[in-house]
Amino acid sequence: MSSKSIVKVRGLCKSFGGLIALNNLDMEVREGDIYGFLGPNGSGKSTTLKILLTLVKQEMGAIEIFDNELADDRWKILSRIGSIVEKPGFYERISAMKNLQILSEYSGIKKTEDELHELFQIVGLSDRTNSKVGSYSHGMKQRLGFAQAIMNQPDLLILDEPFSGLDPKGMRDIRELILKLNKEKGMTVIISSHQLDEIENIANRMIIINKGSSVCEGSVKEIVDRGKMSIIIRVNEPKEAFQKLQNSRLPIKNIRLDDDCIKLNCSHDAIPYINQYLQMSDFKVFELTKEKALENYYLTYT
Amino acid sequence: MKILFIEIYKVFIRRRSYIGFAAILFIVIMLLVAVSHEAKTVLDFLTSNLKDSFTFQGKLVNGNLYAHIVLRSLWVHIPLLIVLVTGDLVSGEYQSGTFRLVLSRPVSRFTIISSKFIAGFIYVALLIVFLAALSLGLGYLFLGKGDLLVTNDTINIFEADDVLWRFILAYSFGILSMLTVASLSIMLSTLFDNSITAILMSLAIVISLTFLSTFNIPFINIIKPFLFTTYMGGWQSFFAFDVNMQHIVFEAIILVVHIVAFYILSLYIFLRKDILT
Repeated sequence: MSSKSIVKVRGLCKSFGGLIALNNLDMEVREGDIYGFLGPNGSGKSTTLKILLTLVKQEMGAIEIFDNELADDRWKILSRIGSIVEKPGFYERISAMKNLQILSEYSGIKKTEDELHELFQIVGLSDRTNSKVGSYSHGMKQRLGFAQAIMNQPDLLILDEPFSGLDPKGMRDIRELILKLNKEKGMTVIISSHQLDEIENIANRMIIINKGSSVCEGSVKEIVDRGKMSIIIRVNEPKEAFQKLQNSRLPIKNIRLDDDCIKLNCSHDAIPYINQYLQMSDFKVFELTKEKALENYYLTYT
Repeated sequence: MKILFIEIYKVFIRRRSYIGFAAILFIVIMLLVAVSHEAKTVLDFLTSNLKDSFTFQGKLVNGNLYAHIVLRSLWVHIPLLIVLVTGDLVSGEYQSGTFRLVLSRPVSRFTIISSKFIAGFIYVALLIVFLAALSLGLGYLFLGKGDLLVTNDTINIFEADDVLWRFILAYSFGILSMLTVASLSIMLSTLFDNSITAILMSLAIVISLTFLSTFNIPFINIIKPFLFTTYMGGWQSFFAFDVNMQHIVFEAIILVVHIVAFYILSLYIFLRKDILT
């Protein structure tokens, strides 16, 4: 993976009235990254992405995209970016095809109907190209949003909650499309989502932000590893098993009883021994799983 | 140029853009029916104070009189029809979220707002031309041509051949007046994220200022020269015997200054606006 920076943000600040939305945020997206952008509601994710797209103006901070200052080369930079910000808003009274034609005119590119049909096929809307967007479901609008985002074959794709409102098939389709565009076209992707599993599955690097500041930034594997040690155990007699494990000499930490399940921290290697110990102590082990690692980490720091 | 065509297209794909045309069509036809059937009543109403001193002969209820009645009756209400569309031009896009898609593309905000102003102006001009063509066309078709009787502070009777140019200039001035209203509402539309707020605020300002402009009280007379609504009735000057062109041009310049000021204010707001909706 290349280490060339595509997006470099330093000391980004923004407030609305007296409310601080971004507080000295730093982030760096490298060429070819699928860069996950995580944070709770109101943490500043959308504000950051809107600033990158010049929809919102920052108060302080430097933004460099494709080695150019965003403030100086807005036009040049935006012509290489495709985006979906929040729920994509289309002109509801006209057809999806006409919407894309209008948006391509705004981008200064002329797309033929055939090229647009191809886009509709990619996002799975080829049978509804001439339907008014007002008749589209939320998931279909999201697919159309994806079509307009990739219309100008951007080098950088900024996706704010692209899975929102999609059914499982839609989510899978969009996920596969993002991976394909990243792999085959080398498209760099910034993707914000509340669906931690999606980020864990799709992204190679990520940032977690909270209250407008970066909590951590790095490779997904590295961050997931930091939160990996939490184990959930379900057995037939949880209280007795809990006491047994507490008094054992197994290498476990932070053991606690949470409703009917036992939670504890341990190393990866210790898991088979815990299982064996419980079975030898005549407990029936129904479930022994690792707690969702990223979720664990995310919840700890946000 | 492409962006301008898109903005014009966007104005005319909305249903609300046709409300004004439909309302004008309805009122003009209803007035035509009323004037045709109640010609004597109309004439009695217009000449009620003059009957004792003058004798009227000839066909005074004709297409010209009808067109003048339409003009006088509708002039107060046309701003309401205009702000329905122009008040929504920018705020409607904030509200529907379409600006998130448009403004994240390589297009300048200056181009967008300028195109919206021009598209709004074209709509206003078409609406007034529609009103003019309809009232004069239907009037001449069903009531014929004839001398025009105008009763304001004085009574003026213009020969049939001396009327059309007055209507053309009156409607042209009317377009300018309505462009001022449109500019105000586009400016407010740039300021507010909600169309209803922008439309109601535009109406509230136009109605209040028009109300103040009609009063003849010393205190209000001091502020009147600063209200654009004071100059919006300038079209009536074309129906005087001695048309004071110097005064009309002065009034027109004041309106143009207001239009430019509203445009600059809109630019100032829009270029700094955070697109949060």
